[in-house]
Amino acid sequence: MTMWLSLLALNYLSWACLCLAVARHYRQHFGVDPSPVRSRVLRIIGWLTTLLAYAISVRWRDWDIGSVDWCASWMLAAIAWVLLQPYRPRFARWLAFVGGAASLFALIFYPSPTLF
Amino acid sequence: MSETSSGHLKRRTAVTPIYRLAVASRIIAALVGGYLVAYASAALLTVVLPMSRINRVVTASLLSFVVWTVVAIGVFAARNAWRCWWPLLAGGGVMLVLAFVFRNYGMRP
Amino acid sequence: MRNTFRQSMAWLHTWAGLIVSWVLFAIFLGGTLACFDKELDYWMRPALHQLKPGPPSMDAAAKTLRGMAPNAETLYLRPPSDRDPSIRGFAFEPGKPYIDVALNPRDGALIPPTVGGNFFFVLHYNLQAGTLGIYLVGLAGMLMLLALISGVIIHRRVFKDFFVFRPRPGGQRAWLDGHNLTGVLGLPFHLMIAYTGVIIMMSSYMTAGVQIGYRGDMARYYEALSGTSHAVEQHRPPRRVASLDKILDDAVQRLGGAVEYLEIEHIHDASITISALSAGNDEVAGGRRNLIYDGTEGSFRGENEGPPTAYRTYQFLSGLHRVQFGGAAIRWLYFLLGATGCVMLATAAQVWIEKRTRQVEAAGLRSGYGLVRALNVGVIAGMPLASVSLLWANRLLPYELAGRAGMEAQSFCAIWLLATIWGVLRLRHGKPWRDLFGTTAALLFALPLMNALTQPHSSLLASIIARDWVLAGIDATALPFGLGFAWLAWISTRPRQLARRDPRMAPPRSSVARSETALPAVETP
Repeated sequence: MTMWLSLLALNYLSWACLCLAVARHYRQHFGVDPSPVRSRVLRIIGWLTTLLAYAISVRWRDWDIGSVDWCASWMLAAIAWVLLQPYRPRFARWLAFVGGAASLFALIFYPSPTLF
Repeated sequence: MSETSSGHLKRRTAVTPIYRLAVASRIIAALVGGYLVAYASAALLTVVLPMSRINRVVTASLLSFVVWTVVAIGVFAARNAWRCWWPLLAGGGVMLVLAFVFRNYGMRP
Repeated sequence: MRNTFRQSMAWLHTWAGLIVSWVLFAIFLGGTLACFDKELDYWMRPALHQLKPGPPSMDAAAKTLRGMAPNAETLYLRPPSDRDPSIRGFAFEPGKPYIDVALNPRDGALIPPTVGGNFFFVLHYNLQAGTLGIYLVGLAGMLMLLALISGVIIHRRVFKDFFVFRPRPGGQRAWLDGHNLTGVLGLPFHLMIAYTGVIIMMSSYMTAGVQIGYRGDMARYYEALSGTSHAVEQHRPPRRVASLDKILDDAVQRLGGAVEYLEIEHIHDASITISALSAGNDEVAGGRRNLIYDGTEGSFRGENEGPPTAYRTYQFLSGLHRVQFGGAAIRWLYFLLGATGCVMLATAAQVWIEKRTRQVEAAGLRSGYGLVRALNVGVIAGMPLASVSLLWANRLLPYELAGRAGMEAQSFCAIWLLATIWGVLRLRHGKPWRDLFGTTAALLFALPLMNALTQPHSSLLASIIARDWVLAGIDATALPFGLGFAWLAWISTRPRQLARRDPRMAPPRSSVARSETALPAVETP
């Protein structure tokens, strides 16, 4: 269960960062254009978190099932972010941050025995 | 239609019987013709693939649906009904004949 | 006419999509529900809800099954699992209907029949229409594959609009965004499901390879696939039949995991053979190992070499589709992604109508447009209602009733038909979508209540207390889905654009011209 929520949260965080890295969406959220540096940082964080999620799922359940786990949670997280942001943008960002932080915390301090 | 003169796109605003016929022809070509080509390709692949017999049969069947998809897209991309139909029938026919001629080779273990 | 590639693909997307959308919606909804077919099987058999703990008796189950099918050559028994505690028995007698029963795992007694969650599974792969249905579903799968690929080609701003969803303006834009969103973000899933769905039944309709490689001899083809060889009949009855329970225990130990099926071959012959197929739930491709036992002595004979490489690839692909691996969590993901697919199809149907608002209005209901609208409401709003009604019918029909499984299926069909008729009648004056979605919501909300009243021991509360999460899960899931349908009913009460098309509100001229062309879900820049 923890692993599932972590995967979903990391992928959700990844999509949130990748989305906010796009000037058009950043403007919708904050009213101003992002600086080029901020855009790039968001994009890097976005790709890194989804890579991390993939590494974790493969480590957790091997290549075949792990890839399915990652891909399915990746799609659902994207849909959740895109559906949430027009209605509750602040909550959507908050969820990305808190969810990502919580899953990192859980992974570092309560590592699953199957993972490490 | 008042906008008929302003470009090719608007000519299709009216759904004429000819247009319906064209749609039906393409869909039949994509499904029936596509199936024919896919079937023929599975037969030919069963003959030519360099594997053991059971692996040839399964691999050919798996690939035939990719062939079908590509063919169906080609069918809709074709400029007119003639260009849509003749490659289907010719390609499918040639592959079927080849597979039938070399059918004994296709049975090798 | 269609002078660019993209336009021709738009053509393909519109028409291939339209003709298949209703069948595909039924297949998608059936498949989404069939993610939990065994769980629904369990929910629909209250006789299983109060089992005393203990080991299963495969021997007792085999005895019941043999009594039901005395002439069958081969029996299959599925041992209890986490998902379904019953023993399932399958047998086929020549010239008689296929036997598929649930048996009490303690004493092998027959459990009152129901169509079970299996109903949705069968609906999913053959629309309850036998071989013809398999062909139809295969064609629908091919058309879906085409619609997906052409959909990506015509979506000119796939990456630019990747994160875009604009629900507020309402009307066509919101539907189109919804369709693009579910289609694009779910694309890997949809592509996988369409291709694997088509190939899963390929030996029914792509027989060219068998015709060439095996001269059309399906039996030899299947034998080569399974990597098994069958014992030679000895034409005398067996002295005795070994204990299936002992064989099952031994097999579980040797496999180090669950057994999916016990197959009992040549029951009436001294060559009786029992094989145990591994469940292999830790692999996408499923079980590969097959242990063979002597049917009279119960002694272990050996293990099959397993399927050939290409067939293993096939098993991987069909395993991706059938999702028997990886536990409940991944079935939930598939369930949600399947629901996303239903939304993609429903919004597509809506976009098609909204793009043609004026023609639809001009043509009236007795036209092709009217037919499309009738099918939309009948299938998209009617089928969820019929599906929930099936669960209601299961609880409301007396369990002692003869032929109740058939009556459940009939009530599903009857409700669907009634819902469609109601929807069509209300299309002219009224809000058919609100009526049907609202009824579905009410039935879903009331499902746990009805369950508690008819089967007090299976109620949500009782199953939570008993920590029976499979049972509780179905009642509990009804509630959020009830909320979802209530929301759908609510948004359908908002005034339809169709009814009040004001010329002053029409978009600028250029985009009117565009929207009148047959271009489907393409972003209008």
